[in-house]
Amino acid sequence: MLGKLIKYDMKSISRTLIPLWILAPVIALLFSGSIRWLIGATGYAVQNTVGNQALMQGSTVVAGIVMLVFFGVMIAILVMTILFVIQRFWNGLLKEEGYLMFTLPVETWELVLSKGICATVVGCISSLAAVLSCVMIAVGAIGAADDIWRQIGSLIGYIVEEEGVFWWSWCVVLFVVLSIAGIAESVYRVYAAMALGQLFEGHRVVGACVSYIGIGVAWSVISGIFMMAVTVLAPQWVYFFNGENAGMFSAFYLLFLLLVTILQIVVWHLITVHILSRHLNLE
Amino acid sequence: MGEILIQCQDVWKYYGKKEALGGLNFQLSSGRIVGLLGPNGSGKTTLMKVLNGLLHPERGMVLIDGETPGIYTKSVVSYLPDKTYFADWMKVSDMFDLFQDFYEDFDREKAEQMCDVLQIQTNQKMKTLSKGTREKVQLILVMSRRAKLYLLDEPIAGVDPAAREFILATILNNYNPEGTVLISTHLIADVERVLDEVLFIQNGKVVRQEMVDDIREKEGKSVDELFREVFRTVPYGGGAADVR
Amino acid sequence: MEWKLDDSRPIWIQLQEQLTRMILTGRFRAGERLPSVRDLASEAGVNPNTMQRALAGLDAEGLTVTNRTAGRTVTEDDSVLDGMRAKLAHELIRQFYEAAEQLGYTREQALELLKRSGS
Repeated sequence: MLGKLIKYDMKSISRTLIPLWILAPVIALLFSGSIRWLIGATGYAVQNTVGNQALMQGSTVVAGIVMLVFFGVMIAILVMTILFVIQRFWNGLLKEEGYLMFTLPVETWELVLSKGICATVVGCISSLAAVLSCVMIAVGAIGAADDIWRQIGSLIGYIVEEEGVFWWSWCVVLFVVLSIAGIAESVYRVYAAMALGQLFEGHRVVGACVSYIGIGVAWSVISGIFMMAVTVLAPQWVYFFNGENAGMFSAFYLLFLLLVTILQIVVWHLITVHILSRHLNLE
Repeated sequence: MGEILIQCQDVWKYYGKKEALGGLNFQLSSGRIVGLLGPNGSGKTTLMKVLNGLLHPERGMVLIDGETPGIYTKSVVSYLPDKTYFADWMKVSDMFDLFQDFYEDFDREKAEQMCDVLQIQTNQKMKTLSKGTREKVQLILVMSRRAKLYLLDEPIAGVDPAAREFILATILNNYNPEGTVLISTHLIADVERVLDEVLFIQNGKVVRQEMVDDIREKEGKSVDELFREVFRTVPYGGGAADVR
Repeated sequence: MEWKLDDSRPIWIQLQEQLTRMILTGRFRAGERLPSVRDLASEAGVNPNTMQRALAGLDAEGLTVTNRTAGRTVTEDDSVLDGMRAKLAHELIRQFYEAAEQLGYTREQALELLKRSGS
């Protein structure tokens, strides 16, 4: 049943976000191309002929427009993704559509998990599209043949040589997983806030916003107390790190962050499911 | 026919401090069409939502086909809420897909035939349909299931007499005769002749449960007249609770 | 077919009366098969259970015969039909006398009135 739910949730994405995901790298490519052109034009402009001046001005304008469009698309991706995540949960479960979804023969946790998985996937793809676009621009602006790439390559080679590939490859894996978990955590935090918000009869949106802030504050306080306890009770941990085992330390630190994030996801999920199955308050 | 399908025992439900159901008791057998009748705010919609699992009562026992509301009961209950629940992006056929995927008792062919008769194109998007058509599509979906219990919340409120007749005929012609239909309404005169049995509900309690023909036989009056009598007692609005 | 239902009496009784009339007036002929319960119910806009009860009433009166293969058919026994016709006629006569008596006529006067107004 979970699979079927995910199928329907995924279906609702296609029309809004997929075009943007494709558009962003394309625009990025155009942008990087126009930067190349601008750099080239600047080179000619040094020769200071009238024609080259005009060429430079023209290419500046083109690059400017492409840049504006690019940032527009990036902001659109960000806004649309956030809107999509919020709207699919709010409209899909807490308004009229809720009458359909909550009377399907599925468990409440399946409904929430399906929305959570879809939103996380959407968040990941949007992030990927954004990162890919930025990389394209960087490559375009600097040039693929530039020395910088070789330097980055040799830096990685140096690290691997010095520390061994083991811990650092773990770090990369953990970083990717942590990024995904981080997106899921943000999604679930919003869900929990909306689930709490719908309890406020007549002020559901305000309730959701206040709940979101409240959850953030509560989490900061709890994690602050925890960190303080760690520093006070186990000071030797803090000095565990030294230059020689940076890879291992980073891996363990990322692992710790990952576990904390997963804990958060679980807590927000349980809160959301509990409220929606026990105190659902459809309009 | 005749087995107990719904059992409610001392069911309480609060909205905040407001009492929506106050110790509700009744049993319903299968194979009947039952009217859930009561003034506005008497708890009809709340009871519907408790039966279909949208609301959890604070106290009491609710059994449908022997089970508390959950996945099993949802798979045998066909619910028509008093509002339309479609997502904008869906087509009529998407809704058919969804019902087919989740409800084993959904008869897609029947649903498509009913749409055909009404000349509703199934490749149309929900948001392009008129409100009346959307309501019809929803009724078609609900009545195309071979459910054990149909919960129809105010199916004929706010529509013209011709549409009312269409809705009642659709219900009569398509319900599963081994199942039970529970219709909540305050328009009693319109549904009276399709009912076997009525439940009068007031302030979250069942105040009377009887077969329609028994009422007519004993009281010599229609259920509509009896209803007016039973609920006429508080002309100054003193007792009428205004829970939803 | 016109189905008229009033508010004061049980619906199934009214349905049975109207079905009886349909049979006696030849709307359904002797030996003819009646439509299914569901079809009759939806035509009259009533609950199938109620229609079922009315039809069971017809069976009990002997006006219809339920047969496993042929379904429910109108009886071919003329004596039953004649008997029912007579019963309805007696009921009408009884109602007439009752109404006349309420107006202050004796039975004889009422009969005289009836004869004079005849044809």
